[in-house]
Amino acid sequence: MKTNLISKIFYPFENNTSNFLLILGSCSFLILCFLGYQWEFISDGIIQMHMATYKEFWKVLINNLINTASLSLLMFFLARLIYAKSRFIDVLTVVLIAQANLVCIALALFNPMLKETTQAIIPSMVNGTIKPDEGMLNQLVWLSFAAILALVFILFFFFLLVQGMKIAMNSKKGYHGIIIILMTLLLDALLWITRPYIN
Amino acid sequence: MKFPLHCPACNHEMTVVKLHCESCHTEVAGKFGLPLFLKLEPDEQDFIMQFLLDSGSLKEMANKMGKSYPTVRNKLDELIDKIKLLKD
Repeated sequence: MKTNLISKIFYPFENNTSNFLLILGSCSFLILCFLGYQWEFISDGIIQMHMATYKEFWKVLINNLINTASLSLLMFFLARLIYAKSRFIDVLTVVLIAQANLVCIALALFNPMLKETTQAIIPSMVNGTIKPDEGMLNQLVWLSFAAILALVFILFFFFLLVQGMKIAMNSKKGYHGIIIILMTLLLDALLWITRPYIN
Repeated sequence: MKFPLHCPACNHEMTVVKLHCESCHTEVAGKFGLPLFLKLEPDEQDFIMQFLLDSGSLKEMANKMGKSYPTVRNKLDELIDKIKLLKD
């Protein structure tokens, strides 16, 4: 039972049906949009998240759609080059499931408690007046813990993306994983530079 | 009992040398090659049977197996490659 659950989490594309994965991925996408709207942050890149000013929900939705659509199209293009029978819906499902990690990152980094901590620390950091008292130390520990957690989820994002894409394009070659990671990082940089988002 | 495809001693491919009629006990001896389907592993035979029973619908098969569509399609591709190899 426990092993089954672990394999469902770590190898979701083998051990869950396509419909279930698509529904789960769509729900996590909507949750990410809702969190972005509620906690006022923008996903301005594939693996980028920054604090932003208040936006209407539809603007947050479109900004997230830009990320999901661009990554899905890029991955679909790659998948079609490698394996002619690749389907867009499978690639989209992989991208949505991998992006579910962004919800966890948002929960770790943009929750109101940590936001308060960050807002309290940032002025001291900018002015260079951090006082090593116990309160500040606690805040720094929480901040470091959240940052490490976010890093783990970014790694898991790439793990799921590579694993899912290799299944979607029936690939058994290791270097395809490296290509997927490099293309994602390239797209991330491109989105960050061009900023096609609604303000 | 599992049908032995390979020799347990040297791992070479096995052949049928005797056939027996359950009704009249007639026995035929010779050297008969195994049909292609029997050369597949039991789980691969099950996969093909399930594929036929689901009228060739991979989507339905994937749902029944609790697996994603591309996982089942990749398994089918693997099987096609293996059958092509066995046929050659």
